[in-house]
Amino acid sequence: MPLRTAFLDRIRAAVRDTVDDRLSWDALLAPTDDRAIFAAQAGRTREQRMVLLGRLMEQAAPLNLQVHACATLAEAAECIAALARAGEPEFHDRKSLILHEHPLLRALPLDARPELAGIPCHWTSVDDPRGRDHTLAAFVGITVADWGIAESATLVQLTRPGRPRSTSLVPSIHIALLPLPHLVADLAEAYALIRRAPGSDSLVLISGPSKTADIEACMVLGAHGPRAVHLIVLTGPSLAAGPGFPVARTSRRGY
Amino acid sequence: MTRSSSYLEAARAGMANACLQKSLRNLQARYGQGALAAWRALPDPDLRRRVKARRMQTLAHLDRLLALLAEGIESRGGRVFFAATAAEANRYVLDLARKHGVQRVVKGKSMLSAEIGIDAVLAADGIEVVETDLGEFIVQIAASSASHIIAPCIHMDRQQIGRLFAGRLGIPYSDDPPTLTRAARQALRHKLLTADMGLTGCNLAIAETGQISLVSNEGNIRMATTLPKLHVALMGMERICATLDDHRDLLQLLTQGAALQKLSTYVSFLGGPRHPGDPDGPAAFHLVIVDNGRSRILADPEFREVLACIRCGACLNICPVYGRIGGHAYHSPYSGPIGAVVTPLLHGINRHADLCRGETLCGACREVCPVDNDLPRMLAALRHKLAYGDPGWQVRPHNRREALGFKLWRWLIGNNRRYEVVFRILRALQRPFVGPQGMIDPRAGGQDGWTGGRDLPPLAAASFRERWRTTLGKGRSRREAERRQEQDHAA
Repeated sequence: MPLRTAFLDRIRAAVRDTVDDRLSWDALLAPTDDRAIFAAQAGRTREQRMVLLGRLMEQAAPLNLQVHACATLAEAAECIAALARAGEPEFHDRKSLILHEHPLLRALPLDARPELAGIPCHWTSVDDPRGRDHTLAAFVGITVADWGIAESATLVQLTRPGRPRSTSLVPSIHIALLPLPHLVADLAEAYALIRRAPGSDSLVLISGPSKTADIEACMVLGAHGPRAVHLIVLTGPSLAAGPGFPVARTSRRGY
Repeated sequence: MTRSSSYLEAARAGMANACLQKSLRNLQARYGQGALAAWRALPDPDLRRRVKARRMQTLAHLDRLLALLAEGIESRGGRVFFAATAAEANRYVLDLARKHGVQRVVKGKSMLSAEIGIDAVLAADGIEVVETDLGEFIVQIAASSASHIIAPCIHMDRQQIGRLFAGRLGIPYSDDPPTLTRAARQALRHKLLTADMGLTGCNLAIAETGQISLVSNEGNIRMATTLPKLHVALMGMERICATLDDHRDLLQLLTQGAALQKLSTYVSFLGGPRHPGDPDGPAAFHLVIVDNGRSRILADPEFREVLACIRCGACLNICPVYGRIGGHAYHSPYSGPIGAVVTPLLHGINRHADLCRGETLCGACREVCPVDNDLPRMLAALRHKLAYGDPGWQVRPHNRREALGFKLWRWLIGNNRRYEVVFRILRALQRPFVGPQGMIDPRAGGQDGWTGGRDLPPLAAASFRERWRTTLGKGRSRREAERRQEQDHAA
């Protein structure tokens, strides 16, 4: 503690001359008025959200983020199964999947997909001692993004109990699901949601597959994280308000 | 070898390195010009100035903001250590490594880690330190050093890297970037999965929410902050913003300025160790906030604004000097115009005297800077200190002969008659030295000093005052004579 006090005292002394022209502490940290942002989100029609989806797809293409629009969970399951069938495992001989413990993923009719026969599906969970091994062995990791950002083709993934960080990182292919109502227009909207989300101290913004251009500025996909990222946007009207989905937190605190 | 000769030698080596020259040309044409275009296309043309004003306000409240950040992290079970010097930071990290029985450290790209020299400290204790950013990894196994803030191995071509990997990773020779990247991915994945400590920097902390944030495209930083049981983040004390909204603005300027990206592939926000119920993430999280000379910069209003820098590297991508000599001449993890300002301020102005003198003051770095830092002004201020000395910064006049030269100059221009006589003599003396291109032979100084790398225009045939007297002055007297004649006629 004395070290810390001395450290901060040194800084205070260094900026003594700014006292007269600096903002007050409260003004510096003044909370942003994000009522307009939430009103815009809440008032968005399905058609407007589909326009955002078009924007997302435009932005996703140059980032090699592959976007699939699926109307139903059955369609999403079919899409996942096709991707798992076509993909090649990279670090292991056998194929297996790891899925976030999430009601939306639990609702996917994956068992009904013949393409997945013989491909084990593992679920992340709080107290499975083999969780890490399952993640390391999996060639596909499946998550549900908390939000999507159209402007930059970005997924927002919060760390939650039973929803570890490694699922979107360690497997060679990452598939993320996103209910259309959770697609927001831009970074400002996403930040407003993040600020109000409980437990948002650990999160990641993901814009496409892992990549590097360190060797002669030549772009290579798959540096350390996934080589491919697929975003399945659930566009069906019934999914938007269906039970079991976390609805967009538009009016949690009063406004 | 003095610093001065090593600057010149490394600069010459950089200019002679054909591969580096080609890479620098590509880099500057694409990213430097691209960043300028991006700023011109900003929907809010005032964004950079507004963000700069917020940066300066943030620095004015830095003590309280750092305390708030620490409070947030500690409330979640993280630990925060304030290190006044590099030695204190290194000692803390080494003690942690010993306490946790660490045998292997995986690093995310961090310039601060190079500034404080932590790798050598850990290695001396028998701990394996592995860089995981591809460029940093290549530079590490080549026993070279980073030559660009964002593209560390820009001085190496694919053939060199291919030979390096064939020798060090035991793979068949290839110069195909995807093949080489895959080989590094395989080799480093094993290291990432078995490391006991992840050691990273911090791009920007957020005081309001008590978090650090890290950007990467490769995913190595996410790996290093997720898989090992211990995560240690090193943070320069100025790398903090007050609110999440400040973060949003700065993040976009950072990724645009660095690589013309709306966002980097990954932006990680981390506020402590894993939560109860999180299946992964480090069990222990330590943030080391480092001063190491920054409070001294903060205390000097002349240089304070350099702490607004977000290390995007855009100034390297536009600088005509960096674009020729490359990064190694700067002898610092911070190269280019920003390096030419912060390296002397952090490590000694006399010791790094060549850096500010090597830059041209052309102003390109200021134009491209996302936070509107006036680097040319600060370079000139450093030159001023070197010319006249500054006890406050422990600077002694850099070159007494140069100082004497300027004194002589003052004497010479103090009297017009004296000036004209001396210049008439010099004009006669310079004749044999004027080369075929009409410039003075650079070796005319008889030594490889100031004149070694510069061509000089010869003294003009007549000074301005002489020309005024002989040409324009005559014109005036003619006009006056005419006017007088007219008046005579009128009379």
